[in-house]
Amino acid sequence: MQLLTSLNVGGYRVHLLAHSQGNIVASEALLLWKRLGKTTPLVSTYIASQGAIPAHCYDSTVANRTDFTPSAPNVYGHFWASGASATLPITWAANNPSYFAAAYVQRTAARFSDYYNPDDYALTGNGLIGSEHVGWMIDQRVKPDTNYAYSDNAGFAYMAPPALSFPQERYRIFSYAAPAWSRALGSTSTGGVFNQNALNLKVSFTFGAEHLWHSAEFRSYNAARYRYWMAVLDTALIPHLNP
Amino acid sequence: MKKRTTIVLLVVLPMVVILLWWRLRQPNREPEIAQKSSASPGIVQTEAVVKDSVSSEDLARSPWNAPDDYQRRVIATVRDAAQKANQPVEFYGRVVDQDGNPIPGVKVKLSVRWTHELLPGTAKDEFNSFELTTGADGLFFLSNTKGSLLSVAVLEKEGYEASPAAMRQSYWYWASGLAKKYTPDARHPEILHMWKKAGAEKLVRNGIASPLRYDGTPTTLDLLNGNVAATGGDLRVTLTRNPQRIDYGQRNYAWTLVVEALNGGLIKSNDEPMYRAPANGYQPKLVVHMAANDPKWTDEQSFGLYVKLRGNLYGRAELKALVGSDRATTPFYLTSYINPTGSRNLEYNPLQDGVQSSVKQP
Repeated sequence: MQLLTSLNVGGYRVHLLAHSQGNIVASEALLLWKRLGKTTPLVSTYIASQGAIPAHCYDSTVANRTDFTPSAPNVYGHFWASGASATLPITWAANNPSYFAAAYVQRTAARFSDYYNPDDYALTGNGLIGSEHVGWMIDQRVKPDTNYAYSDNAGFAYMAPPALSFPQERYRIFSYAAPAWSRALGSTSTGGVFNQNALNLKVSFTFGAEHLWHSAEFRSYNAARYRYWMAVLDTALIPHLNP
Repeated sequence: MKKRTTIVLLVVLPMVVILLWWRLRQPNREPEIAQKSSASPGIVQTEAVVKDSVSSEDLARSPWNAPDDYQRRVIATVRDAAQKANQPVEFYGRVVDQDGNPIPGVKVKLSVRWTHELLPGTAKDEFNSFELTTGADGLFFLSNTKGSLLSVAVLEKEGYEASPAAMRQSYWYWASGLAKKYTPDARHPEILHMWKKAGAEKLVRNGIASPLRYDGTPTTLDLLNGNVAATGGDLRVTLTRNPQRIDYGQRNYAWTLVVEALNGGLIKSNDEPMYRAPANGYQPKLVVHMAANDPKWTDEQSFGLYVKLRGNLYGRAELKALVGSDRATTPFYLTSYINPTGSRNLEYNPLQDGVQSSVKQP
């Protein structure tokens, strides 16, 4: 957030493109900006590209996964609210807003867009090869990670009590312990602050199901990916040449 | 004694047979998922345990450096995920040309993603490739394999070009809540289009980037010269926006885009590819209006056009208008391919002007 704030000082327009897990950091910056009581946008454009973050963070109405039973409550789709228990999410109201609900991040960017690929290898696969490759879907299933735990009557914890607390320790809980109930943002279009404003990378640019395509815009040269980068300029309303 | 043995056998043997028969009739049961709860005080580790599926040999081979309980859970979870993701795959397809005629002898390559357990607790999503050839009726089918996702990787036959739409489809066999599970149907094969090529002709290709004012000031484009025309021209583009001045990111205002053919006509099209211009059906202008309260409101408009210009020339164009700029003008792009001979053939060879590249796209 400090970086974005400093970039804004010069009177420039700041356009923010976040890729994969970078969207966790980028969205958090927008959330923190709003919590400071700011009413002007922190960035002009926010493009969430192939976001490795639960779609429920932005839109709790996205369909649940059906291939496993999550071992802990959906803390992304229905986050802690002021006055609720800091340690027992099972007691939270079912209509709590999602973590990045529109009410919490709207107007932090003037334009929001979700670039997604419904067949994205990293976001829809089950690959798990140590730390070399962790598929997003299987990673949610194996949470809590080693030494972390969850139970309805004691909440999330590391090694032993006391329980980890919301909202202070939410980053640890999200990272290591709380499974997502939904697919990843980068594999679907969503409502919430994105308001279905999305670009399907498979349909528009034939991004495929192989691993390469999760980061294809970086793992190539501009001449081969110029259409992706022109779309980025278009989303930000930056005029460009038409080769 | 012998009589008693016979009676026992007569009673016991049928029971054993019935028990075996009953056991064999049971469908393959899903691994049992159990939530472990502990009466021990404090925090308990919640586990998805697939009972009896993790052996001590699995633990010995597992590369995870973690407590046994955790390893068991990971090994079992990975196995369960792989089992659920690797569904029976069947696919029935028919390849037809732009006129609906079946195409025999097409090389079809299908790619099927499946989850492969490596060492216990580790897995990799891999791709199996299947090469098939269409029969006289354009049909092909794939069966007897397993996986989660099928995509058409290659449609190839000399003299034909695969439709981009055919290559964009994917078919999910894994019901994970990710996408609607695909149900193959031998009676209704998937129709995949290929374009029967007439042969590329030398077309006049131009890319125009021309900012539009949003106050109704027209911009006239010359599609043969690829520029904004002071006089004459082929297409006139007009954008009006209400209100004219907006803030960056503002939404839900009304706008109207008008594209007029000055000496010919145009047809909006979703064809893929747009390789043959229609003989008739051309309209003098196209109006796109977006109401402020349109539930599908957008500030971006992209579409294809067939154009007829200067009386007897045919062409195609891809148009993109971004109407949301808060500056004096808003971006507008048009890429056109005109056949200068009067032919309706719009097939194009990107190397027609001798520009070649030996660099392969990664």
